[in-house]
Amino acid sequence: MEVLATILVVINVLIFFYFVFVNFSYITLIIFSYIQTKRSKKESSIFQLSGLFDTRLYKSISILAPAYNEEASIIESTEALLHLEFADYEIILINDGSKDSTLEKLINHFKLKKIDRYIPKSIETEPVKAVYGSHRYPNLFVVDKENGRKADALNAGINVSRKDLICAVDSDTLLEPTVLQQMLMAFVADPTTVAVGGVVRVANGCKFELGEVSEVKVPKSTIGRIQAVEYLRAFLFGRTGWDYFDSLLIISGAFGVFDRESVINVGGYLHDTVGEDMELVVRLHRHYRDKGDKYRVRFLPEPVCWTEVPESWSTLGRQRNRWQRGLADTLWRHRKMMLNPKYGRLGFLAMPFFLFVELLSPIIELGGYFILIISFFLGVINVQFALLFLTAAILLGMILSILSVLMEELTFRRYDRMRDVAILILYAFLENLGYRQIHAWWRFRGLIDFFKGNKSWGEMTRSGTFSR
Amino acid sequence: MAQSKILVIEDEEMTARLVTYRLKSLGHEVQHEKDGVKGLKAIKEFKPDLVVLDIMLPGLSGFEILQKLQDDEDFDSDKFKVLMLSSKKRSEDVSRGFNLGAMEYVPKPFKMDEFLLRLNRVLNQ
Amino acid sequence: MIDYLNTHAEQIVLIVVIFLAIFSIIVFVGAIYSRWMLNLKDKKEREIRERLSGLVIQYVSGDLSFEDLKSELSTETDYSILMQISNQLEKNLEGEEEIRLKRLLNLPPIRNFFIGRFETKDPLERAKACLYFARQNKIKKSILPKIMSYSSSKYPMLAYASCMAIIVHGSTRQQREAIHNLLINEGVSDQALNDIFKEFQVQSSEESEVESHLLMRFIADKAYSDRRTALLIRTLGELNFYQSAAFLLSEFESLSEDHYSPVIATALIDVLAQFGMSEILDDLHTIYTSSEHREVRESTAKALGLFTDPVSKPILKWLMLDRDFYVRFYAAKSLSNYPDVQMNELNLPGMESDEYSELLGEIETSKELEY
Repeated sequence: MEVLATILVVINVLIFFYFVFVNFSYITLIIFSYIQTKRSKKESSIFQLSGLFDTRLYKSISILAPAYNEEASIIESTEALLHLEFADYEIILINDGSKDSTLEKLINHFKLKKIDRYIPKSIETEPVKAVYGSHRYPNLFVVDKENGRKADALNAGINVSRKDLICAVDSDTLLEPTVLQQMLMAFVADPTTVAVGGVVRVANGCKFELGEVSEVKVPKSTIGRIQAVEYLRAFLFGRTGWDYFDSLLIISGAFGVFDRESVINVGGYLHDTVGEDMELVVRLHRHYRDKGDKYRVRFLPEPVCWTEVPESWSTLGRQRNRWQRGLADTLWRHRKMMLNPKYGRLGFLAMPFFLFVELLSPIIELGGYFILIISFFLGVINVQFALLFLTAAILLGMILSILSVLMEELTFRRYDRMRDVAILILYAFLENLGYRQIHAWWRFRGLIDFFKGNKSWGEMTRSGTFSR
Repeated sequence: MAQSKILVIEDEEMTARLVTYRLKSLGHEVQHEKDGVKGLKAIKEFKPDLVVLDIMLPGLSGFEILQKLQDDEDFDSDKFKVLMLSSKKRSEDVSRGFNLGAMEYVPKPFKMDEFLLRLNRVLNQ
Repeated sequence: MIDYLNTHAEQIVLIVVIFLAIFSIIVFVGAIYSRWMLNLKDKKEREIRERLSGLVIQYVSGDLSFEDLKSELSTETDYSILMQISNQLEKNLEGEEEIRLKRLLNLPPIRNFFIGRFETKDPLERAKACLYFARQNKIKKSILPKIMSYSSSKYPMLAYASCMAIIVHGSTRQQREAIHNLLINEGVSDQALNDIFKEFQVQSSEESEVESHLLMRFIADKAYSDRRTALLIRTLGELNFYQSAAFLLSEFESLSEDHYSPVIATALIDVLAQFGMSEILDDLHTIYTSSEHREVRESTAKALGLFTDPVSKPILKWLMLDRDFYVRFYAAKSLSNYPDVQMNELNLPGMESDEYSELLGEIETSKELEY
């Protein structure tokens, strides 16, 4: 019994310090992200001359938008893509074997015709049935192909594209009009750039007019609000922080710009993984590090795209399950990079962080709560310690979330009304009282599913945020 | 010279202000709209004698405005004149403008005195 | 350690809770404060912008002298906003107004700023300086070699800006070298080169021969990528350099039957057709009609419509059965140019009648929308 008690105490203490470590490392990331953001803002100098940042001068972009059964919103999303402010870009919609009338709607609305475009087979994909184009919309193309899921669709798009850069988006991503210009700047400032990620913000609750966001508001629902805080913390500031260390491992599948040649060089997206967005970025890192070439992967906090986040707990759960499986898959495939000096900060900082803080945390967190409860009932732990434990788990987490809201106010200030900022602060508290634990459970299930070999995507029902 | 009612539909702030200033100092009554939707509404409400119309506008493009006016049975398209002022100057765009009812097409960048000359020509036709 | 935690647990928790509470209040108050400060700053900037906009408009229209405008400027913000206003106007104006705007660049704070930028290590800042020099009417010849060296920079904006400066201020030889550097720089877009050629034309306004000779020489050198060569060919067409027609024709005829570059072939076909060089008809009929590249077939279909040669008629009918819609479309459109062809009476085996009427409808629309 003595031995058991000691073991339990030790485990409890270890887990306590684990929580402290996780929260503080995230706080560190956020502080560095603030530094990084301030740095990039200083770069725009006082006097600007017209014509220098005329983006048509530098590179061309292909927007790749895979679509599967999107008949409800496809016309609207495509119209929005046609109104972006960029001189030389093309839109390649990939109809990934939709079973509904997605393709028919597109053909009818945009008066598309079958064209005989030569498609080099740079990357292997499911067969392409036809390519459609239109002289009325000379930069719009629709690729009709057999179903092969998102990665395969993107690869087909890459094959069809003839531009310098590719911008992979989800079909429900809404890009802000100047987004492509901002992303381009990273490629222009450093010609060795191969990939750039931008910010994904929560669209639920915002008002959209003519394909642009007119009012930025917090979502109305609890689940939406919690995700709003979460996106600030993890996606906006978390990633900017990694950019400071030049070790960005993940670029959102909802929005990322890549150098087309580079993606083809590494073989395109991997199609038998659910985490194809992260996997590609890690593979790019690995490829260029192995070759010893100079390259950069950036994250820019200014370019914003909006996406609809799940409004139902079950859809959200499935999404987070899938993300966890994708993360596990990528880390496993590239386990050789872990703690490998050849990969510098990536191997020593980023990958271990993702392993211990992102991947394994659900096990440790849930295990921790479980052990705490057992220890408490066995009388091994007293009330004080349990309180400490929960402080580390919850209160520090609250500080972290509120810090993110602070950072948002100090840097981007996209939320128009103070009322929304107050709501965010409130939900920064609430996020850690229940949601975080549920989230850990979903991720735990994701890990189990990963070990069981589950590769499914799950359904996403759209709740019509972008429709008028 | 006779005072006319002129509507300037242009989303580039400074250019619009400059044009408005020059036209006003010539004695015309000038109104300015920044986007296509409001511009279309202003055509119907302000009833200008001449519209200085840009093509690249938020909301409705210049071409879309002209198309809508042509399709609108209640609206008499002969009542007002259109001068297009745009950075798009491919021959297809110019012809399209004329086909949709424009009387003059001034490409950007433009010389102010030439612009005013052509504007007068349109007003006097 | 564990004992320490146990005994002081309550204090630690209390400290964290208090810290959390204070922190949240600070964040909230801080947010309100920073908003308020930002609003103030925005308001001040807007006021400056209002005031300066009015002044600039008067100045540009000749109603306000340069000196009077200068006297209204004092702070750095003033100058910075002035530049923004000036940039917006300069995009759209030519002639008198543009000259007046350019004069604003000579204001001492602005001039000193850009000259200072020339000496930095940052390529973007150097690019700004080069662009500034390009906008000036005169610069010191001594800095030209340095600007020239920048034109071979791998940073596209520096290469572009410095080339622009050379075009405006450099000798013919320097211009040639700078343009060559840009042609081999794959990071610079075709659009940027278009800008350079346009500026080149402006600079050598009387002697348009110089430019067309230079372009022809670049094409003849065969030292550049297919895409660049096509751009050079199209530039000759866009600038209507008819004197290059004979040269382009010889380039066209020297294209290898088996390994021609589709992008160059298309450019040559488009420009030679535009120049009315009917000598290309034979090769169009025999080689390019059956090209495996759709762009080449499309250009061929378009070109044949410009010549309306009777020999092309059956070829166009054949192209109307092409597997690509737009080849079929342009073939039909070209046929409709023939005075002796009745489009609705064409009898084409292999084409469905409703597809055919759709095609005719599309031609009507294209004439309306001009594409």
